[in-house]
Parts: sequence; structure tokens; C-alpha cells
Amino acid sequence: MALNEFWKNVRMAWEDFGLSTVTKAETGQARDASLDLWATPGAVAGYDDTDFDFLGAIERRRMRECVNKFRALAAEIRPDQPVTKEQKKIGFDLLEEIVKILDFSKYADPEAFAAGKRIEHVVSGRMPAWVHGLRFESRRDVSGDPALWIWVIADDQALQSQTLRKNTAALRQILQAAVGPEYWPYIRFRSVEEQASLTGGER
Amino acid sequence: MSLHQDLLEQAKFLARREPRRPRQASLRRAVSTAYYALFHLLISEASGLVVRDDLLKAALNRVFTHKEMARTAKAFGSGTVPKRFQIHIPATNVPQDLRATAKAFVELQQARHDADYDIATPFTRKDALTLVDLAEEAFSRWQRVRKEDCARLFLASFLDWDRLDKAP
Repeated sequence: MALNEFWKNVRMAWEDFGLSTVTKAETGQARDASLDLWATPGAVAGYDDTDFDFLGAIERRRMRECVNKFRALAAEIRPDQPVTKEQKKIGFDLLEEIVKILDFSKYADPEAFAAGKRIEHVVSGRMPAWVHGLRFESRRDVSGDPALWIWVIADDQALQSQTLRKNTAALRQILQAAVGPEYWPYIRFRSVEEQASLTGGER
Repeated sequence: MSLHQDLLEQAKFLARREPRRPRQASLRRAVSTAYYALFHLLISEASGLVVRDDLLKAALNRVFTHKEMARTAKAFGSGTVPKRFQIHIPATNVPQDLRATAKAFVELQQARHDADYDIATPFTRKDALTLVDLAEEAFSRWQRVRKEDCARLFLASFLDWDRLDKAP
């Protein structure tokens, strides 16, 4: 599946080559050319616009534009020449835009990305204010069936004993109905503080 | 008190232990125990459909398997009864309380598996509390629906879903 390949390549470019920890200011600085291995068409290889029919029109167009611009930029870069400061800046910004859409911290894998985006579209406007966000992960469950884990990141107050059942039951119903028949949904709840402590401060 | 009720109480106790910094062991045991509470409730009800003697019930309890029960629960949770009975019970007639109980069983079985074997994913207090509460809610829902034929069919399907699911 091309989406899997694209996902894997972008993630590798972003994380394995250290871009996820690089600040914008740093990208402009001269560095060893070997650190710029991400600036190749391979970083976005596997991209196929038709894989993204689950994205909203604006996000889908943004993704297409960023990938096309990145490809054009990477094609200009000669392997025997260091990447220029300007090329680094433009390339980093484009890749960052792509990563913002793919959101690796929210969607654990490409299947979860596609399913999660669809679900978010279905439940849009129906999430109570105490829900801070959703996180998605797809894998096989203990029965061997395709399954989707949805972590609901919620206000601590909403998960106090007096309100817990009412709130979680209502939300389970909304989310279970939004997950298509291709996945069995598993819905888990964490407070904002718990999520932050698990991810080192990132919410 | 019955074993399933005791297990539920124990799960609630474990989920609230160590108020400041809960230990993974307590949270994981809470989740696992919550599943077994619902598991024992349902198999005791299923055995009770067939025999009355406690020793016979205990022997029959050993026949039920987690896997078969999960298959049944996934079907009923989605509003699907075994094929043989679909003409009598359309999906829309599967009571909401039964669907929710079945879904809770599936959710808790997976959570129990994660709690016992997936050490990489930590459980949080809220994870544990919401899962224990899900088991408690399933107990209540089951009480409301247990006398209905559809609920009895749910229990009977634990024994041999495949055979019952064959088209007539």
C-alpha cells in the first residue's frame, strides 16, 4: 500500500535524521552534507494523492502542494553538492507541513491515520468540551481481528467518580458508532495530566 | 457474596490503591480482575440455564472458553444473533443493554490481555477506573436484560457459536 510506504519514508526522514528535534533556526545553519540525507525525493516516496480521499479538501490540497514542491526541490539538489541554506529552510518547512498533517504523535500508524481522520470527520462538532483530543492506533486484537484503539484525552474533572459513567458511556456510544465495520473499537480514557506524564510533557 | 461480585469489589479497591502514585501492578490487576468479574458473572448465568446443582454448575463453568465468548460477544455487541435465529430476532431487536454488556465484555477481555501481557503500554489511573466502571455498568445492564430470551440465547451461544450460527 502506497500510503504505508509514504508514511514510513516521511517518518524516517523526520525522526531518524533528527529533524523532529531540530529547531527552525538550526535548519538555516551550515551542517555536514551527510546530515541532509532527508533532502531527497525518497523522503516522500510512495505518495499518491488518491490514497488521501479521507482527508478534507483543504488538508488534501495542502498535502499535495507540499509533496509536489518538496519533490521539485529535492530534484534540484545535486548529490555531489552540499544542500544550500535556502534549500534546507524550504525543504524543512515543507516536510514540517506534511508532518503536521500526518501527526505521528496522534496517529500511531497509517491505518490509524486514515481511520482516525474519517472518525474525526464523523464526530466533528459532537465532542464535548471536556475532550481535549483523540489518539489512534490500529493493530490486531486478542481474537486476531483488525481493531482500532482510540485514546480519549479528557479533563480530569470529567472523569471524577460522580460524572465518569455518564460521560464515558455517552462518548463510547458516539465513537463506537463512528468506527466503520472494518475495525472493532477499543476506547480508553486518560486525563490530560496522565497523557502529558506518559509523553514527557507533550499533550 | 458471589465470586463475580467479590471480584468486582476487589477490582474497584485495586484501581483506587496508592492515591498519589499508583503502581502498575495494582492498576493492571484491577483491570484484569474487572474482566474476570464479568466473565464469572456471565458463565455462572450460562451454567445456571442448564443445571441447578452447584457442583454441576462448577463443572460446566470449565467448559466455556474466552475465545468463544468473545466471538459471541462481538456478534451480539454488533446486534447480530446466530443465523439460525435471525428470522426470529432481527438486529434491531437486540436490546441495547445486551449490546452494551457484550461490547463491555470484548473491551474488558482485550484490556485484560493488555494488562497481563503488554508491559510496553502503561496503564493510568483513569484507564483502570473507567474499565472497572465499565464492568460495573455491565453488571447493572445485565441485570436489566438477563431474563429476556435474547439474553438467554447470548449465554447459550457461548457453548458453540459456530453450530448455532449455521444457516437453518
